[in-house]
Amino acid sequence: MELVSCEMENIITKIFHTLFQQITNGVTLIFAIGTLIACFFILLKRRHHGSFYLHFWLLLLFMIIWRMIVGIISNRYALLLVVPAVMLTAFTGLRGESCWQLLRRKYTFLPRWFAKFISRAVLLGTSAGALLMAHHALTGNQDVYAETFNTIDEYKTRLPGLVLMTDSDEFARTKYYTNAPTVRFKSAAPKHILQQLRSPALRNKNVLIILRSAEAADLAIKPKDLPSGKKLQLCKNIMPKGRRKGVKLFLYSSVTPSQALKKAKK
Amino acid sequence: MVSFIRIARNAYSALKSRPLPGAAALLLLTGCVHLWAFSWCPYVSRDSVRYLTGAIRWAEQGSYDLFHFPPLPCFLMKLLLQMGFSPEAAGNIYSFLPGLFVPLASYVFALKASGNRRLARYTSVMLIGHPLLLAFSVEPLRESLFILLALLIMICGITGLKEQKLLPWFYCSVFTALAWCCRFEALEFVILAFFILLLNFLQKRTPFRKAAVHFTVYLVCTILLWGVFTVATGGVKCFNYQFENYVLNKWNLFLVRWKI
Repeated sequence: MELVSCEMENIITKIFHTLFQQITNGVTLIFAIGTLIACFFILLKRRHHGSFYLHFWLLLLFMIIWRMIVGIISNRYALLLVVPAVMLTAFTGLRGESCWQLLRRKYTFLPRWFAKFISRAVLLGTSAGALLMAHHALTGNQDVYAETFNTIDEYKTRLPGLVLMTDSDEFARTKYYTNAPTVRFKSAAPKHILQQLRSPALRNKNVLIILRSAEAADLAIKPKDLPSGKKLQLCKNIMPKGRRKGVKLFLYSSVTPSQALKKAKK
Repeated sequence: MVSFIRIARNAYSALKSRPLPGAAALLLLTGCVHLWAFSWCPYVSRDSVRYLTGAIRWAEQGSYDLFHFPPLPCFLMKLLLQMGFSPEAAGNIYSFLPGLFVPLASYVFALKASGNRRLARYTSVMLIGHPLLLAFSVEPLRESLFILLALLIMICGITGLKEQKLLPWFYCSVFTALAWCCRFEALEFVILAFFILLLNFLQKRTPFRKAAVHFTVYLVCTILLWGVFTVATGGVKCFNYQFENYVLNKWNLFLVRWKI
């Protein structure tokens, strides 16, 4: 019995997680709230809506259930729900306007202009909010990447034959924008990084390591462990500007002492 | 900023009164916002780089090697590359053009679904700045094209249901096949069309024979056209991968997720 209730709890958690976290993130919070209010309005006056709304509702329900069954890995899987969500948010604005008009019939002292104001406020408010969110999301990590690629370019001119080392997530982008030979590591654990630095392909090369995770910032590799007396040092940690939460990148260089000296003289 | 507000106001009032200048104004407004958004992200996302490099390799080597992704997005980018555009320009044009038409298509969809012109107008204006759609419109990903095709599928599906004619279902199959060549999730529409037609029959809106013919035509044309588009775009290797990578993976994911 306990096992069944635990399973049930697990299923309910998954449903809530998909519905209120993944789908809400996908359609964005403003439109998710608008959709919920619209659902409330439609349930209140369900007989007024033509039977064509039934198809619309079934379409929406099917899309949500489909996503719950197959699971959502990224926000993109909720993309198709964006249009119905925006449509329902627009419906909320219009319904708010008619609700105000109904109220005005009873309480005549209420201003008439406010009815149109409600729908326009919903339109402008959500549009402006969405645009600000888009700006925040799109500019989020741009300064971090700009600084990283500029730093890599500087190192490339200083150290000829530089090899970049990064994880699978950043591999393609780093290689594309820097145009430098790039290798990927399977894990950011010092043991694995060291193993790769000792490999014949990288043993005699100057390597710049790009790490994403904050845990890996203190790369605990002792100098004696490095091949041919190389020196490993943290060159730069690049954080998002202001109070933004975003990608943090840590650049480590593993260079031969002679070249480290050249760098110091510069 | 003042001129931007003026454009937005003119677009909104034009959309209100006349459909054709209204559509042009909506396109102009969408174009302005999306072009402005291009300046926000000079570096594209890591997935976009995958598509871009895939298209570059395809243009240089002549064979498609990203076969776990449907071929259409890379094929279109490859065509633009072969026309002489730089990789960044090809990626930007490929994602910007479908993104430009998404609010307009959503206007038609909302109008067809609700019959309310004002609701349709609000929906299209609200969609212009949607974070997800804006991001897809400025980055060379397959979603911008997919959402446009999905909207066209839904518009044709609604027309087919309302008018009970075969031709809209044929158009629907063309867009579904194209969407399938873009993202495997388009499979959802085939199942959706089945349920909607079944519901229409149960509600006695469409006779059984008509509903069955419409669905059969839709299904057969979708599969045939999907094959034709996949072969025409040169992504034949995707055939094996599509079943293995999408259907089986999703099935396994479903079993693991729900512990069956």
